[in-house]
Amino acid sequence: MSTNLTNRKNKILLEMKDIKINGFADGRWHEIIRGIDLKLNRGEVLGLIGESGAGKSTMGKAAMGYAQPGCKLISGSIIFDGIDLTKITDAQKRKIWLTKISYVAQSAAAAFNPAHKLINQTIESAKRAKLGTEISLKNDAIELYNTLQLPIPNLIGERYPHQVSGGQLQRIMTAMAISPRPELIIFDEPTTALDVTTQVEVLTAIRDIIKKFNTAAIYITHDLAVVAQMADKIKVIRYGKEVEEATTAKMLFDPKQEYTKSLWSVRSLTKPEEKSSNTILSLKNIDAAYGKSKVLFDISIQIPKGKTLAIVGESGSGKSTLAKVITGLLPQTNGKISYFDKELHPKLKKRNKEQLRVIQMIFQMPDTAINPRQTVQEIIGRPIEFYHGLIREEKMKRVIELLNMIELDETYLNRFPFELSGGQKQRICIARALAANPELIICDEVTSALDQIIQEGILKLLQKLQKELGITYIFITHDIATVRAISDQIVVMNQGRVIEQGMKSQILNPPYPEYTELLLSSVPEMDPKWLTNLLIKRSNLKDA
Amino acid sequence: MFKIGFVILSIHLLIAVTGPFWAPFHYAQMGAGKPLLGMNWINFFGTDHLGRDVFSRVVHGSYMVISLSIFGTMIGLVIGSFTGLLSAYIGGWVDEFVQRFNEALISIPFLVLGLLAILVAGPKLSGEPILMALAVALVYAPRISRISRSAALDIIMSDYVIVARLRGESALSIIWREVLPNISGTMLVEFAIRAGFAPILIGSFGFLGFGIRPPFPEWGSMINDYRPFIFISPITVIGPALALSSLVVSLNLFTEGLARLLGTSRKEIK
Repeated sequence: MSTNLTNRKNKILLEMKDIKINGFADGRWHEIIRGIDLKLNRGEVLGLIGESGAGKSTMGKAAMGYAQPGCKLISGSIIFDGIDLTKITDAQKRKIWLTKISYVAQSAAAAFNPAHKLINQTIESAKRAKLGTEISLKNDAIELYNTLQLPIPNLIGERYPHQVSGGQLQRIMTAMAISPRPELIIFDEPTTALDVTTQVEVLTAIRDIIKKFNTAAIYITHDLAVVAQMADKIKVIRYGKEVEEATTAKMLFDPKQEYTKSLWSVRSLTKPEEKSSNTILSLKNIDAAYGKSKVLFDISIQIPKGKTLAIVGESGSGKSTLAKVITGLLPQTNGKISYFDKELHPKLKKRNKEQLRVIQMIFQMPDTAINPRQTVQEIIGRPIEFYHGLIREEKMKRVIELLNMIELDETYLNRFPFELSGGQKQRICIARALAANPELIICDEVTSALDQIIQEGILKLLQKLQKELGITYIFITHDIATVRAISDQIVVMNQGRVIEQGMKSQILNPPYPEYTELLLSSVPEMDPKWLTNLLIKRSNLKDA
Repeated sequence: MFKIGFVILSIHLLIAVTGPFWAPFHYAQMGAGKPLLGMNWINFFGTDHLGRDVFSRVVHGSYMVISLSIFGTMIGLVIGSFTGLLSAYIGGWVDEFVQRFNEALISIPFLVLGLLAILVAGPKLSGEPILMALAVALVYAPRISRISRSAALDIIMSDYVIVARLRGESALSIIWREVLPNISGTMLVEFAIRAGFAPILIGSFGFLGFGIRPPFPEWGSMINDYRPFIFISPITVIGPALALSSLVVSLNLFTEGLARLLGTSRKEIK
C-alpha cells in the first residue's frame, strides 16, 4: 500500500455487510447469497473463488450495487467510498459506475458492440463523464494499449471487434475498464474462455495495469492457480456462504477448512504410465478438410490397447476434428484408419454395426449429449437393445448393472436429465458408452464443463473402468493437469499437425520442442510467484 | 381469456356431439315456418327462403365443421411434419427440393390452392366431406413442413443425435426417438393454431360454392345462400356467421392459452 493512500481518511474502499440475495428460477425464489461480508481496501486485489453456482458472479455484481434481472437484494449494506449503494437511485448509481467502478466480463466478444470501432468503445465512459477531450482520451487509450502490450497500439483501436483475437479483445476490454481511472474493477472470469498461452498474456496485462494505477479489484474465478497470481487475499465461497478468507500465501499453504483443502488436492490425482505392445487403432497419414479449407495435415498415430492416449492442444488445433475423422463423421481426404489390422471405411454409413459398437464417444457438454425427453433407463437401454438385442428384464438388469458401475443406483432409472446434476449427466453418458461394450472410448473434453471436485470423480471413475474392463481411451483435452493425471501416452497438436508424440514421461520432461515448451509453461501453477518467474524466464530467453 | 375460450368451445363441442338428437327440425325439412320469418320463439335464427329452420341447420352442420377442421389439420400435420423432419435430417438436395416445393405451394394463395385441388379432384369427389379435409391438409402441409423443419434443425445438430448416428441408428429411428419428442410441444401448438383457422377455410370453400354438396347445412355455403336476404331477414345470415365466428374466436383463445402453457412447461424441462 502506498503512503499517500494511507493518509486519506477512509482506507476502506468497499464494505459489504450481511449480503443476502435471492434469485428467481423455476417459478420460485431461491437463496443465492446467504449473508456474506466483504471488505476491500484501496488498491487491494481480492480473489473470489468458488465453483459454478456458488454465487461468486452474483456477489461481484452486488459489489456494484447491481442485481441482475431475476435477482433481488434482500438485506445488507454496500458502502462504496462512503456511499451506501443500496440506498441511492439507479441514476445516482449509474453516475458512480461511469467513473468509479468498472466491470470486465467473461466473454469480451459478447461485451463489445460489433458495429463500433474499438477505441471509441474504449473511451466511451470517460468521454461521457467528460474527463477530457476526445483527442486526449484517445491518446490515453493508445497509451493503455501500449501498457497492455497490444500489437501496433496506435492503430489497433481503429479496428472492429471481429478483427482482433479473443486474447486481444479481452485486453482491450481491460483498457476500457481502466480508461475512466476507476477506483474499483470487477473481473468476472476474464480468462476462462481463453487458451492457456493467451491466458498468460492477459493475466500479465491485467496484473501490470492494476498495479500501475493502484486500482482495487475483485477477481472472480474458479481457477486457484490463476487467482494466486493476481490477488492479495482470497475469499472462498460455496452455496452462497463464505467458507474461508485469508491472504493469498496463507490460503495456498495453510488452508483451514476441509472444503478449501479439497479444492487444492484435486490436481493430486496421478497414474504411473504403462506401455502396451498391442495397437488397437492406427491412423496413417490422415488429411482432413471442411469443404476446401484443410484442417488436418498428415496425422499418424498409434493408439495402444488398454491404455490412455491423450491428445492435447489449444482450441483450433484440430484435436476434435481428429475425433470426428476416427468416428467417421468427417471422412478423411487422405490416409487410412485401421482397427487392429482391419481397415475402417472413412464414411460412417459404410461401417458395419460391429465396427460402430467397438468405438464409442463421450462429449464435452453432458447437457446436450443426452436427450432431454428420455429417462435414464431409455438413454442407457437403447444401445443395449440396439447392439445386443436384449429386451425387458434382461435389458433392465444390464441397465442397473451399468448404473452401479458408474456409482449410481436404480433410483435413477426413471429420472429425466433435468433432474440430474452436471456430473451425474456425464456419468450417464459414460454408462451409455459402456452399454455397447466398447473397446475404445473417445473422450472429447469430458471434464472441461465440470467443476474441479466433480472432474476428479469422473476421472477416477474412468480410471477404475479402464482397470476393470481394459478399455482404451483417447482423451482429448486442453487441460495439462488432466493429462498429467490420467494419460500413458501423449500427442501434442497445433494447427492441424502433430508436434510431438510419445510416452507421458518423455513428453512432460525436457527437452521440449518449442511449442510444447510454450504450452506446458503456460499452465498456471499454485505458486504466487509463478507468473513473475515465468515472465523473467521468457524475457531471458528472448534476450539470449 | 383462456377460460372464456374454453367455455365457448365446450358449448360448441357439446352442440356438435348432441345437436343432431335435439335439434327442433331436420336440416332439410321444409315448412318449419313461413319462408324468411326472422327471429321468433320457434325459429331462433328465423327460416330461410325454403322455409327451413336456420337454427336447426346450424346445429346439424356443427359436427361437420369441427370434425373436418380437426381431421384436415391432422392429415396436414402428419404429412407436414414427416416431410419437414425428413428434409431437415437428410439435408442436401433432398432438403433443397422439399423446401423449394413447399415454397412453391405456399406462394399460391391458400384459397386458390384449395380451390385448384377441389377442381382437379373432379366432379365425382367434389362435394364430398373427405375432399374438404384433404384440401385443408394440402393448404396446411407445406406450412407445417417448414415449421417442423426449422424446429428440428436445432435438435439435429445436438450431440445426442450425433451419438445416435454414431450408434448406427436409421434416419427414421432417429427422427422417431430423438427428434420428434423434442419438437412435439411446438407441433402441438402448431396443430392447435392451424385447427383454429381451419373452420374459416372450410367456410370459405362453402361460401364460394365448392363446399359440401347441398342440402347439407355447411356454414359457409349457408352464409352464401342466404346472402341475398340479408335485408329481409338479417338473422338468417347472422346466425350461421355467428356460429362460425364464435367457433374460430373460441378456438383461438383456447389454443393461445394452450400454447402459452406448453411454452412454459417446455422451458422448465430445458
